Amino acid sequence: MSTLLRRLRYALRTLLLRRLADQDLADEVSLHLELETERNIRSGMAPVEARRLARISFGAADRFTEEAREARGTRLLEETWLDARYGVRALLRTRGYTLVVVVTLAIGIAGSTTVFSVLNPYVLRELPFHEPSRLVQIGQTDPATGWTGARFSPAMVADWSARTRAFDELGAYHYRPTSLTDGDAAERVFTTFVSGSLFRVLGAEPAIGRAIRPDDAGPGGRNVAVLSHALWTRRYGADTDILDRTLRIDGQAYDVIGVMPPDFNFPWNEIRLWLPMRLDPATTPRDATSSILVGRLADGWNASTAQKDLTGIQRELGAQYPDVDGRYAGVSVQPLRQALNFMWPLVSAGLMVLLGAVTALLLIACMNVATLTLARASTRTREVSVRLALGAGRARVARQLMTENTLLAVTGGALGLALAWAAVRGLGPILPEGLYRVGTATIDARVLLYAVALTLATPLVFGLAPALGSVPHDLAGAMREGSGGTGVGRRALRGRRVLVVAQLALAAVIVTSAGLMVRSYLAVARIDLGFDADRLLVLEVAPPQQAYPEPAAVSAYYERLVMAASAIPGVRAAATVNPLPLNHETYTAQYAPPEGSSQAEQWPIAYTAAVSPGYFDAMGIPVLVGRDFSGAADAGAVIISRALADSHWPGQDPIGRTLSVDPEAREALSVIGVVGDIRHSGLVGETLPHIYRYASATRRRFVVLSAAGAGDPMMLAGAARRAVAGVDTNVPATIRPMRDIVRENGFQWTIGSMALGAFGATALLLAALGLYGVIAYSVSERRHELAIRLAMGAEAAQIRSLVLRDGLRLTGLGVVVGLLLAVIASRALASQLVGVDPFDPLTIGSVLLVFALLGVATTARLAARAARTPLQGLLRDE
Amino acid sequence: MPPKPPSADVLQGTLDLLILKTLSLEAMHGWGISDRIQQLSCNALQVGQGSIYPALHRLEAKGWIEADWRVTENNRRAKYYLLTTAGRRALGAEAATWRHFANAVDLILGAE
Repeated sequence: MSTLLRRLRYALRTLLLRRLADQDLADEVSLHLELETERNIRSGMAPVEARRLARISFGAADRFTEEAREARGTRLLEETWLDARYGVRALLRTRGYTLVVVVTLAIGIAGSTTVFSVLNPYVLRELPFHEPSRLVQIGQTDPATGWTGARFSPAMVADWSARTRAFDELGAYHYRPTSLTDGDAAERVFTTFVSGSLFRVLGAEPAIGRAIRPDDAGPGGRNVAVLSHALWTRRYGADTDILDRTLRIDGQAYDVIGVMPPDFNFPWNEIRLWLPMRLDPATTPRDATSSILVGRLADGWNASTAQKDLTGIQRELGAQYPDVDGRYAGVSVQPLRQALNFMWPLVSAGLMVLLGAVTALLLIACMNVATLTLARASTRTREVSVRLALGAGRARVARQLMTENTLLAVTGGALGLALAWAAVRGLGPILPEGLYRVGTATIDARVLLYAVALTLATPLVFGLAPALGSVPHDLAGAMREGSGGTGVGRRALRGRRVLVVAQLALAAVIVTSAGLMVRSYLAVARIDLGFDADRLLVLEVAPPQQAYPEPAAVSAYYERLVMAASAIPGVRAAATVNPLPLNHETYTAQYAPPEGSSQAEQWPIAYTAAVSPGYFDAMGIPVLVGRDFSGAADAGAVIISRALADSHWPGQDPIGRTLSVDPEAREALSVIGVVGDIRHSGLVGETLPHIYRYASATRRRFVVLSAAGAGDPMMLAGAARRAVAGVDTNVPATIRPMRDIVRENGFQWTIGSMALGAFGATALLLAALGLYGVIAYSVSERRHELAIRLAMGAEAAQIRSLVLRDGLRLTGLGVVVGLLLAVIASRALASQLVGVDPFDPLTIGSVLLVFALLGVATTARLAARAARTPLQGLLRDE
Repeated sequence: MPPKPPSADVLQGTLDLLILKTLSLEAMHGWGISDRIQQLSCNALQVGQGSIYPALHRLEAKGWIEADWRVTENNRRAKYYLLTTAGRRALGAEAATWRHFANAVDLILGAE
């Protein structure tokens, strides 16, 4: 057996069977003495003499026994084990204290761990690719106007790849839903079309088979498909022969060549299929910008140096192709992790706010425990002094107290971890799918480490000072029972008062943030979307290429679908739109301002959408002037939103005027109507005007159904699905209520106000407990003074107000400090607030009121009791 | 009159060496080891016999010797110690160190 193992076994045996080991040692020594005695007897001595000589030859038995015990090398562990057992007994004796402390710590640690475990997949975890820090997304920018372009055409990608030195390789992709129709059930699947280099750029290895290669992509490549792990298990039952199968995707045959591992996720969670891009750089127009560009930085290059390199290339190409590449002057290079999460700034800031709040909560919890520990320590002064007098080292005594604190922390931490686990599981379903994340919110190694670190840090934060402070210097004085005058008692009280003020301050910060967040949530819920979301049901369909090759066929399909949907009983109106508002998809275009033709770069920008007749009616968007589209004859017409009409034709009739959309298309489109403004990209923030065109032949559109009654539009889902199947059974549909889509946009205020509200309530509770404890302690410390006052004729009411004032003074101090801290912290919160500013008087006033009530409620009972302080017993106590 | 016993630290190191050497010949219990050392050194080393027990436990904690409870000829329960592989290696190393030390001291003392 190796030495290490042997030593480990020895240490364990000694620790756990300590009493047995001690007995064995005693046996050894007594056997030694017996044998030595016998030898002496054999050489002729009398038994008594033999024994005496044996003892002398042996030497000081006690000392050697003690030394042998120490030689085991496990003294520290043995003492800690003893401390732990003693600590457990001591804690069980004061069950109330133990329970309060463990629960308090558990709440603090549970909250922190939960927030951290949500932060982990959205913000912290690295992309699961090879050397992910070298992956970036490339975009175009125009520094003058601030516009950004994220899409490139194949010809542009080819030129950039050829000219750049900053990248090992570039890859491109675009995505859309496709119809998977092999086997029985047709299914709509989010699919990404990738360039041949993309998988290499990412450095992602498939779990089975191979990924898409350069010779698969382009016009001459094979039809191959890579499945996501989820699709493979769900639809194909994790069939190990998957590599031999052929799938029908959008009516064409594709061979399965690989399956990605479960944690592969690109460019977002719902993508289930990867197919090669068929775009040909030679034949695709240069301005057909469809693909997103990513790259792997070469050795020695970073984002900013790469940006310079690419800007130079951009300029060259801009000179060569002024109408396409020349439209943007600048280039942006963004780490891929951030680019994939399009809500990155908001999400990370929001989560950081939550983390800050929950850490403050943990601090409050620790402070609560610290005051309790201080109180406990001062009641154990006598016991501690006796131990010191008996010869225990000061370090040893302090160590024993710290062991107790550590026991409490570990118990609280374990309970907190269990609570966090339950909370994270509960949170799982309500976290939105649309945000990019790496893995799921779980308690993984990193989160566990964080929780363990917090747990071990808390006894240091709340336990060290009281533990050290409770080992008094003046033993004789400390051993005398009694209050008022002992250094420990006075010091403890001052310490506790400071702690309580700090607790109240932190609680005030959390409660203020919670109030502001709740008001933001309410403001967001009240936002006028410009359309009637609650009645809308959304169907998402994509008729496959094979069955509907011509644009005319696609249009005909949608017309039939809209007619079938309108015919459903309970449906008031139906229409199509692309893109759907608030669905994280935006198409924009520049339009020529009517006041003369300025430079194309300076044309203003608007959202564009393609709609079928009846769209505005279905959505509940008012048609303010003019009319809706009536049919194909309106192909050359546009409908504009009020904002556009007001900015270019204020006070005039825009009907009949013309617009050019896109510098390329020189055709003048005439305005036939003006409709109300709507929110399109997000519930808050800047917005652009809308230009609506008659439904084009885009393959993918959303059908919106407006329910006639006030009921849940999802009740029409079954009938809607049948209607879709009735038009063409091979086209699957995804059905969702518009309400859900809108709610997803407001997720961070929903979560934020729920979480901060919970933290705020807990913080108030803990701070109230702390305040109660301090006032109670202070009253008990002052009972002689109070008794004397009462004896001298003070009224009960005066005593009560004395105590109340004390409580309110602490509360007031805490709130004022807290509000000042909140002012400083408001900078972090400001980005999250909607419709309310950080110094909102209503919120601050409410916070002051809440804390005033808290102070009174907490102190009132103690004040009443103080006024009834019995006199005789006290005075005799002296 | 036997020479004065040397100081504690030197004693500790050499005691370990002596124990290891004794156990390399056969497994023994504490009294047996102490007795054997007295015999072999012709009673030259006379420290309190009890000092052997801290040394034995230290060596056991280090993993150089291991314990085995056996029954003696007189049917008594005794803790026998055996040398481990690591202990055998350590014996060689310690013995070499000792010889080196002793030679050095000799040289110094021999120089006039």
